[in-house]
Amino acid sequence: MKVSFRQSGGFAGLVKGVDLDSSKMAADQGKQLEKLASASGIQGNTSVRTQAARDQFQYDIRIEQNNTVSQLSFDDHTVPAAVQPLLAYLKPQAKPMPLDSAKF
Amino acid sequence: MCQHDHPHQHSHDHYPIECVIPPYMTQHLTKSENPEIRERAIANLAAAAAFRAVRSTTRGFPSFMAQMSPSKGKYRQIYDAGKSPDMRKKLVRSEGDAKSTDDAVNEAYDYSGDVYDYYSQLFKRNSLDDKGMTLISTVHLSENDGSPLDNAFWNGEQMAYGDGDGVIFQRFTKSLDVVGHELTHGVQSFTSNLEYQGQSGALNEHFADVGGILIRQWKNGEAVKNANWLIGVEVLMPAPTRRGIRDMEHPGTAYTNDPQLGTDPQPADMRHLYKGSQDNGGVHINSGIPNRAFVLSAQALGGNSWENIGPIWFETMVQLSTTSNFQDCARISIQVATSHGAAAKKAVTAAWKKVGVSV
Repeated sequence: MKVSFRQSGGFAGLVKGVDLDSSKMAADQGKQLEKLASASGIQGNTSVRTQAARDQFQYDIRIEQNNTVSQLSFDDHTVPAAVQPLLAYLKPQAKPMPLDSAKF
Repeated sequence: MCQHDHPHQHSHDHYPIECVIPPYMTQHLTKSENPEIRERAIANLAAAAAFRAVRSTTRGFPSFMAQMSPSKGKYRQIYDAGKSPDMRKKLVRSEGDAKSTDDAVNEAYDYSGDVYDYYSQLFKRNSLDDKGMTLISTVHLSENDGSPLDNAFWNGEQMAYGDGDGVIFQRFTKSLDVVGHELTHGVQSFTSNLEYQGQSGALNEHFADVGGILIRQWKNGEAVKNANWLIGVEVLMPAPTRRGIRDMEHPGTAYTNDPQLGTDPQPADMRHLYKGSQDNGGVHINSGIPNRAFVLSAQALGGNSWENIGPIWFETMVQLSTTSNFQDCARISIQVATSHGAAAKKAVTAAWKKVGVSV
């Protein structure tokens, strides 16, 4: 399973991200990632944003498994409860990313 | 599938939510043989319809979100979230109350007062909505999981400030231009209400930066010839690789090869316009282009920015519509500048040309 995460926006407009592949991680870490990604319930291609807010963080998570790609875009106030644990796992791993590399 | 539940629904349950699901997909799922999928799809269709209703209501009538002040004039309220995600945890200072022992509370109070005074004295505007809306701020707000918030934002009805992580950022109330930026988002929501996506969104960010910098220069009596155009200097932890969050004069140079921030991605001209999907289509990225056009105009006119270029830019902001792009902004700002004299017209026209926006 491949999981990509991007964080952008906020007052500072920083773009950060991380790309993970469970098959290339230590077995226990890979299993943890797969468990969190499966529990997130991310399916299809969905965007859930707060319309009137400004300077919120934008989060994008892309999950690729068995040739199926699912992607969710959301912000601080529209984080689905099921996605929160995966977000908490991915955020500390995100590093500054040049705009070209941030593209999914 | 679209879900709207989140752990702090109680404090945000009146937010307008934008939910974009391919309709054919949701419609298809309502016919699923799996009862659970069918039920969720139907619930999401109902929820999406409800949120669309709120969204269109707030877009059409922004005052729906405003809380009128008791005095119908300058009135501030500061809430302390106590390092929690609860925006209205405790009201700690209201208009006229004595100074707090908490610096963040006093900064939010004093700086929002400065912003009120700026718009009142220069543009005869009574608060953000011009009807005496209460200026509400929350300080010491955390992330949803309780970790320090590296951000300040406008949620559609009030300001909110995090304390920063102490590594990259410190408390966001420290900077008058940050507070001015957030409140100018509020002014915009009652005027041009520029859509927060792509070029209109970058203009929204641009005018917020302009508001922030003008308020700071006005408050400090900084003339253009001595001015710096950096945004958010005070909220950054000092490091040799960073000078500010944005440099309106030289976009793309505020920080370079910084271990935590990377390199400032702002373009300085249209040739380098960002066209990707991050940051709502680059709203904090492409704002570098109009920011530079504004500074070039200000420098050409000289004097005090709040007296010379400020009124031209304010008038432009209120004349724009929700979907205006850079070219619309250039065209209208030149029209407005023309009414301020030949020198103003020449300065503004040359500035837009320099950043690659021709009219």
